[in-house]
Amino acid sequence: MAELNDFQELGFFGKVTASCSHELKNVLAVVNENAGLIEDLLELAAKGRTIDPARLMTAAQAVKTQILRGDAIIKNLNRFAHCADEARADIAVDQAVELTMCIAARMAAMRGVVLTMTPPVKNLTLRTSPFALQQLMWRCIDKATASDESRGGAVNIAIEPAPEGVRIRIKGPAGKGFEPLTSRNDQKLLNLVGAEATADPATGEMIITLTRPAAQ
Amino acid sequence: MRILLVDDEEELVETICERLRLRGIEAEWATSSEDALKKTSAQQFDVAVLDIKMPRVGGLELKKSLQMLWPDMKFVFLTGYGSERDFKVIMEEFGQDNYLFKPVDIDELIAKITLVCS
Repeated sequence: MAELNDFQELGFFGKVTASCSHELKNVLAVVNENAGLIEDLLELAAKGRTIDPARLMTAAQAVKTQILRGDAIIKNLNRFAHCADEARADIAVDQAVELTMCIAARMAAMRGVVLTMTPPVKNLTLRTSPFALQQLMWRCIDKATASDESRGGAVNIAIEPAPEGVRIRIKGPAGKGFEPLTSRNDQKLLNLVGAEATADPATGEMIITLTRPAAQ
Repeated sequence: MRILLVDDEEELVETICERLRLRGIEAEWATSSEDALKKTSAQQFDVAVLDIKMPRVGGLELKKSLQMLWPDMKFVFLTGYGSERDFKVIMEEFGQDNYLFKPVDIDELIAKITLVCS
């Protein structure tokens, strides 16, 4: 069973790194084409053709923009990698969920779904497993964006204080409900995080309630 | 020769198109399969260069729809993936001459386009 868990965790890591590396490939591809275009234009200028300096400037700016985009992807990937540093840590839940949303954005986009977040109450801190929380949130986003009915819609995530700790509400497109987290592995994840998953049939939301440990 | 480039990275397809035009090749672009189908319903293209992974409808699926509209159309696929599984699908379905990995070398792309047309 331990081996199975290791395999699943590795699988999750694999999905995240595959998605981020694919996005980085796109960044490099755009940089490559703009650098190539600058080269093309300069070659034409050397042959005596008049070149619009504004076009060169746009191409150079596009390279800069892609560098910023690539930097953001790498920063997020690095933050994600460090989630596995400690088995348990005090974390700001809003920041952790924002990170999952960033790394899951491409998966959602490939399914035609946009991820949105209701501006959260900042620094809702709680002691939990940072890596398991990432995995749990990825799982929720995966479920919320998986159905064909989700296409062209948005999944919204809201984070709020709760008497027990912190509550995360996940709302699918058009308020449609989605499959609950009922598998044995889902339950293990919930236990690791110290959370409970419920569904609100009235709103179609999935609600993850993270319980603040007794010592906090 | 008329080329249609389809990739959800707008800046990428737009710039590749511009570079192809600078080389005297007629090229148009689309950022989704839906957009590509609209463009091809109105105009004929000799080759479509398709990104395999695109939101909603990917390049492999788009190829089938385009082929129904234009049975003589030729295809080149772009991929950012080095995944064994994707690689196997392309190799099995389309052979080794029909794909390029991103980032693309413009001369290699032109060579590939010329090859599939020949």
